[in-house]
Amino acid sequence: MEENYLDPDSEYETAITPRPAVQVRQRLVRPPMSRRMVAWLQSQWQLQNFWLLAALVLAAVAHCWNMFAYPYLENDEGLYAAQANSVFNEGKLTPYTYWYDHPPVGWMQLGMWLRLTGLMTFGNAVNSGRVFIAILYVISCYFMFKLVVQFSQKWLGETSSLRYFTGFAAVAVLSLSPLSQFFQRQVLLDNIMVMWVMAAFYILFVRYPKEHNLLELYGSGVALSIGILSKEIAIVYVPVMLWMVWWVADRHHRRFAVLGWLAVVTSLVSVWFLYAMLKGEFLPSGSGVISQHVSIINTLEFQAGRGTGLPFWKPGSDFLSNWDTNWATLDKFTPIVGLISLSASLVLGLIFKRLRVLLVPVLPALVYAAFLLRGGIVLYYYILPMLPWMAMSIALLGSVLLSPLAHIRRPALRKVIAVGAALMVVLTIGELALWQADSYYGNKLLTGDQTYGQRQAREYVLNNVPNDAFIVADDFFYLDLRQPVEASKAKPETQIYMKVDTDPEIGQQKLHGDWRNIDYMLVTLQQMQKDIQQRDLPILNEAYQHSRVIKSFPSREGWELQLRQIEPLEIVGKSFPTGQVLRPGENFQVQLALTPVRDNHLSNLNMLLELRRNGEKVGQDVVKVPQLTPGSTQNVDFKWTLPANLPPGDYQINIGAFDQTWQNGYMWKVLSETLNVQN
Amino acid sequence: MLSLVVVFTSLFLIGQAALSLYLSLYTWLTPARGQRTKSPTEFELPQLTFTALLPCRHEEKVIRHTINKVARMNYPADKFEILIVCSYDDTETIDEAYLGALDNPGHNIRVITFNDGPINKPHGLNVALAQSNKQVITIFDAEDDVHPDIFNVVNTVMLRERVRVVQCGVQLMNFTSHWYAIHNVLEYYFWFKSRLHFHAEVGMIPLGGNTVFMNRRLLNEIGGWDENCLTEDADIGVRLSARGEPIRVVYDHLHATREETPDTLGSFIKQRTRWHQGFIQVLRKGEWKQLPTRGQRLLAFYTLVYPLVQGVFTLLWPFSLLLMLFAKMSVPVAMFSYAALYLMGFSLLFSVMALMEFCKNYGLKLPLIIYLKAALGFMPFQMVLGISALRAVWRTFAGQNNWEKTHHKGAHRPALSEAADGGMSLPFEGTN
Repeated sequence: MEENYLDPDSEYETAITPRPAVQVRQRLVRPPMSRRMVAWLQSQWQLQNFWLLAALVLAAVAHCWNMFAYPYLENDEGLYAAQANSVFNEGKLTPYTYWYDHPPVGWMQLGMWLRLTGLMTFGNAVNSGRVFIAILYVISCYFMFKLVVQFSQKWLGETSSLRYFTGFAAVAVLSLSPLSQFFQRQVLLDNIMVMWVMAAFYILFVRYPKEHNLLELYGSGVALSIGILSKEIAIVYVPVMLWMVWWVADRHHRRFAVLGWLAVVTSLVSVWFLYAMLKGEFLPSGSGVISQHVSIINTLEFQAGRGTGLPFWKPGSDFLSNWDTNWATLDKFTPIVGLISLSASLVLGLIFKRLRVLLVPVLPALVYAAFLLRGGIVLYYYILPMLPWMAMSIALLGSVLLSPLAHIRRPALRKVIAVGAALMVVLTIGELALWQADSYYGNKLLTGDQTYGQRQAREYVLNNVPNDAFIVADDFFYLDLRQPVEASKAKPETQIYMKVDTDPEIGQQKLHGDWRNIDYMLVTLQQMQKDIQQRDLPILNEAYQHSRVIKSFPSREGWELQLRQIEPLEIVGKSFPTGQVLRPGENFQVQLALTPVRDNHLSNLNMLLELRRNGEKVGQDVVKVPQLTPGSTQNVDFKWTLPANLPPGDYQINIGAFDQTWQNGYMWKVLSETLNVQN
Repeated sequence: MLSLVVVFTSLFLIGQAALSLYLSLYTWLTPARGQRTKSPTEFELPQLTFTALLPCRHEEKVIRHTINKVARMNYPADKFEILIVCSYDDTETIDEAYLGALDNPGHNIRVITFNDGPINKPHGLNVALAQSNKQVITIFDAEDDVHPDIFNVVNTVMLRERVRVVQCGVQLMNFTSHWYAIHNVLEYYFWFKSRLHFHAEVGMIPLGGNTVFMNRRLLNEIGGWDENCLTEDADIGVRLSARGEPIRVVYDHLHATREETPDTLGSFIKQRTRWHQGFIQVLRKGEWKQLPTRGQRLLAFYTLVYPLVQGVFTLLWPFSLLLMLFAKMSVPVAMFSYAALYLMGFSLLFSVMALMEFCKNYGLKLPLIIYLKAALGFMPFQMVLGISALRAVWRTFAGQNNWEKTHHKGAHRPALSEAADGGMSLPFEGTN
């Protein structure tokens, strides 16, 4: 038994003095704001931030300079802008039926931007989108810089300032490549996706290792998921990133890291399918081409089946033709050097443990390359997500080669070398890239104007086409014509031409399946012809066949932007003095049986007869047409006497129709014949 | 209107599920946290002296074994004493306890009896406290499997970190015994390994019923245990926290005290009902309102009110599922209502991962069928917890504050048979 006389607490209490329960918070006297600002700036004035700033400024300038004028406004850009606008202003995912072509999160982000800044703040809707994309580009350059700085520390050492230069070089390679700038300026979902993928890598490799916080690791999963939900193709990165998560994760929670990360990505991506399920649009509704409703499964099948199906090395495959016609003409330097660098990095990263991080850009590039080379559809901008990996790889490999420099002890010398090398890189890449682009496009990235015609067309249509006209147009006109700054000029019946046949709401409900209800077309002719050839677009095709050009606008080489009008009248019968020889002063008669093809533009209709010789007008006559009603045929007679002093020869007789809008120069040619006049 | 109901219900469920997930993962979030919660790897020289209290009631079958186990601690025999606490009429246990004392000559082992009421654990503990002589008081339950180094661990932690209260890990082991055992075991795992550390960080801990170490002078200062409380352990934790006393939590699978789940679903529900009821008592006593910071009061309120909330959730879940499946809602609202279900899935996933880690740590085999069992039993287990919560609320309002006993089979210790639960209460929660 323990003796009681021993004080049980003697030694114990000396050993243990409990800390105060509540720590008294000290109030610090804070220096004034200005002093704190200066102090903050001083603390930020490090070499890293200098290079970072330089990189971001370079990225922003190279990206934004001339970005409204070059390249041309692409249809997809207008489509995404329209959908973005629809999310926040109409509460719908798209202005048309959403058919699961892509997950909607990409244009939801754009929609937030448009909502914040206004639709037409930058001239037109696509321009607003381009500003948004430019901001995203600068952000993803920030991520890339940080990633490269972090990785290159493995062989350059933590103190070496060459790391920052490496980061700068990566951003420079990407920003000065005409190939990447061309696509990166456009409002494409891929650009939004790239930013989120970069964010995911940044969080995983730069943020997470600081504390090894599991929540941050899951954050990278969230970022990748937003990337996937912006453009579904980012899903190819899931397996590689999963491996990277396993690789980077601390032993303490590796199992939670890997499986949890996968669960985060899976569940967030599944929300898209959940949406389809809740809408009852998951499974196809039935067999056949026209189903009762859209279905996510149908669309995925359709998307997977697109393309020529030729293996990538065969001439005519999507990949090779894009290489020949689009990519190689813009920039051979980045893809070729990038490919060499990726291959070298793969080998080096597998052999040397110290260089393992070289694999970080290689692995996603590999899986993405596998996607490009799969033999399916490759659109012209699909190269885009590949380029950041290439730029990163080029910079990292370059810094491996430069790493002996890091061991030079004299800091001044190191700085001189770093700045010199930076200048060299910028000049070389810039010169090479711009020069080669120059040889094809005359360096138009920074000076050319490809959107001039599109801007002209927009102004022209806003000012000259009646507001109630049903216009089918290129996608990028959709918002510009419907919601222009001057609301009085809005053309609320503007539709995207593709939707005339693909969206039953437009084709069946609005147009009643009849091309005659279309008034105007504002289209890039070659693109529409290609679409008509490749896809089944009967209504659009009919309308196109019955239309005539009113005005052409300049476009990029080999392309033509046209305003066309659908002819209001169809000639069902005619009698004309064909083959008859006429003399001056003689009478002749033309009879036309007309059927209106539309129910508008029918009042106050006049017919005009022109006599032209060698293109020069020598006489005319106007006949008022009685009120036409749709579905009935109306006869119009011209009785006309040839002028007595008419010189003999071949004459052109043109007969056209016009209505009250005539003063604006609209006239539809109905008939054109040759007339032989002899003495 | 319906949408509004759904949104609010879902918000409630989502908030609770997210918070619960965060608490479950708390220790796993960073390696630094994992490191902090572990036992020290090197021990200080034995300096502090310990009194181990063994409160018993009809534990004649296990008490001798337990005494032997505790007596053979890796700690100098003159630096600890063992007090077996019994009601005077429990003669079988008293006899066995004396035999246990005789087994270990040279150890300071005493049997303390009491003949006044109430005959419950806190009263016994208070009686024994008055008779104890050492610096640090600890409690072991009669059927506990205590690690022989536990005094060394606590000695080291108390000396190094200058804390007066240390809660060491307790772990249920028999996850293959019953369908509900898997999730019960995981509750303990998450509770001691993760969530309790969050409580320690905030400074508001409902302590466990055993393997908790407290300075004797401190215990005397606060007047010992509350004899009218069904969960005197949680109550004392709240009171210590209210004084601002720092409490250290140590969970290392190497040194955790091993226990077992109740042997029938009925006794499981009774045990859980008692805990829930005890929490409601602590809540009504209101000492938590004296906690120093708002964050602590909030955590205390959330923890103590949980039995009530869990009852509500139990009723809400089926309702919410029905709405999800059958009600016509706008798509965004419907999607929102699914978020709670997603979080539920996460919770199940993390449970399974924790189970894998648990088995790896304790060197147990994890049969494949357990994954299926865990998945199938997940929702029913939540319902059982909810039913217990509803029972507790019911009993509270019916004024039934007596002790429903839990029976143990000794499944983690094959040589033992039935013994009684000395009782330890944890404010366990499922994810609902």
